[in-house]
Amino acid sequence: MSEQSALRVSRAAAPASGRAAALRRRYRLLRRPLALVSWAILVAVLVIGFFGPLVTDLDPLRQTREAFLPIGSPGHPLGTDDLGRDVLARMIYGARPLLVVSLVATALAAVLGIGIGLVAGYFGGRVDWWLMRLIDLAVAFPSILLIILIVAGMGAGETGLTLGIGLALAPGLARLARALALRESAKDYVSAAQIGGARTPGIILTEILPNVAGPLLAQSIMTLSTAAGFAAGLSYIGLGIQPPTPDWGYMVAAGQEFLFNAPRLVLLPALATLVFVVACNFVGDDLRDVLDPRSNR
Amino acid sequence: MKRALLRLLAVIPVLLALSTIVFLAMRWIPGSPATSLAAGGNMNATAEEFTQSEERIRVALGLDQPLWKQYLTFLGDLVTLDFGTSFYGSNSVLKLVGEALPATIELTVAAMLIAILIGVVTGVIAAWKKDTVVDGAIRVGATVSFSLPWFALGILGVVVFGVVLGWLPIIGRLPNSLGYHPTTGFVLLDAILQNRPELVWPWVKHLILPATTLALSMAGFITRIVRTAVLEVLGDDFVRTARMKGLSESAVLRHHVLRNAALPIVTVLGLQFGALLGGSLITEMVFAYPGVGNLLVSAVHQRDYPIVQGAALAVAFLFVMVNVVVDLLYLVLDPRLRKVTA
Repeated sequence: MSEQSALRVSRAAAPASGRAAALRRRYRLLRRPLALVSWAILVAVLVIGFFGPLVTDLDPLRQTREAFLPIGSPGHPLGTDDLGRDVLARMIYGARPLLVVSLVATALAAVLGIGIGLVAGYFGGRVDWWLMRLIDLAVAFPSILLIILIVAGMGAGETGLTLGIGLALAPGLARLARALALRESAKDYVSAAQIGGARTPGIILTEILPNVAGPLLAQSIMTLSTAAGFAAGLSYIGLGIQPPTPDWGYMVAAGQEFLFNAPRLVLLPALATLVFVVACNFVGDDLRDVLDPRSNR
Repeated sequence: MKRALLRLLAVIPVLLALSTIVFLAMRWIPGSPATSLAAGGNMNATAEEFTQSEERIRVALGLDQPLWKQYLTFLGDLVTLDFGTSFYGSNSVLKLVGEALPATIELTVAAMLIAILIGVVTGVIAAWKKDTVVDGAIRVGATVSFSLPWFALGILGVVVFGVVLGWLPIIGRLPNSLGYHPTTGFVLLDAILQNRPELVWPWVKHLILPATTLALSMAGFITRIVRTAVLEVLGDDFVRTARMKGLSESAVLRHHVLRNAALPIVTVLGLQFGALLGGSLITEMVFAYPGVGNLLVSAVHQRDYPIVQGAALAVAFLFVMVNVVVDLLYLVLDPRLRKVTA
């Protein structure tokens, strides 16, 4: 939310000139390999998270007497944790909760935010004013605090976490959608549809939405990166996915106790989270270049 | 002046709305806090004991009153700064939050300073080296920076600087052995007031890792803004004039370029403060740092609702007040705004 507003500030202030175009080309050359690697990481994590548990016969919950086995132990490629559970299995199974929460939360934020934004931008006037005050109110909280409050209210777990993240991230998308809808409603094709007697929901969904879908989709993917960061962070502080279900964020918290004996127990899930979240961000950046050519970056 | 006053007045409805949301969030908890508290308190309680303790807690919390009455009581307590006492132990919420808040403010401010330092330096370098590999690398770094998940970054810092290198402490705010007794709660102030300079260095050492963790996620924004602002200003007439006057490049940069870039930087700081404050809630957990975040999250786990409520209000109010300060700073930094009537 605030992150995205800041992005727009910087974008609005960016100078547009021939030199800027040259710079953009050079900058893109540098970013392109990063974007490709990021796409690969994103796809890999998605595949591992959703299909990994189906193909592996490793059990992330089975406890053995062989605790703290090092990396490369026979039968346990990434070793075992304090309860003798297989770390590789826990890494594979632990990706899914993060993916599910961040994907569903992003979808929720997109539907809610874009819906509110389009309605506000299309109708303008009093509807717009009230809807935007609602958004202001949501933004008056730091996102994390809003999520913690919602999770505190609903009880720790995936449902509350998903809802909280979705609500916290909706305002950023709502503001973007409103600005775009405001611009589009002034255009002739919208007037034509109105004069032609089209119904309002039809105009918003079939006339305006397709014309603003690119930037909104790109922004939604950027939101996915933020959502993943929040989901992992809240699981880390114990408000997300509940044990014994393996989850990267929770694994870091559980491993922290053994920081000096077995730092890999925190390093593996922490690095995985870091790489995944950063990859989401680069993919969003890359998608924006393609989907939102007007964005002056 | 009128503008500044109006801005201050606008805080009241926002604070009221925030408090209302916190109030409702605390009362919409499924099964009511009394039930969960009674359930959490004693696993072996019989059904009768359970009902009794639930009833006792309901009365203690005022949950037996109608909602509007609870709300009025809540507002009254708010005005008189009476946030109740913790469910566990007899500490007043005001005292607990009051002890934790300075630690969080220290962390956030330290993070902000580090972020400004990193952001301004890299932003100016990127603008100076525009169109080079250095510029490109800094911009990629900036993109990476603002998607970094705090806790993962913090953990990496802990492992590298705390465990492997052993340079920095990884837990807490000050070692217990120092016997720190807060006067104001701000260590630096207290070190001066109590004439205890030996507090400063351990305090700084404890702050470095958590503050840098937080700062890195924000520095990228500042880098971007500074870079854009510097590029924009560099082409302006007054910069050319300053150069023609024979000022050195660094003098031009300090007096003319950065001064004009200050406004967008303040904007980002304001926008990002919420993210920073939110980030501190999680970062504090990584470093067992005794701030509001630690207090809030432990209270959520223990279902200690008076503390959750008090800590949430403190963070939300702090956030609103910072936004006010940022808006007032605009008036100082941009004289053009002062003339416009609201």
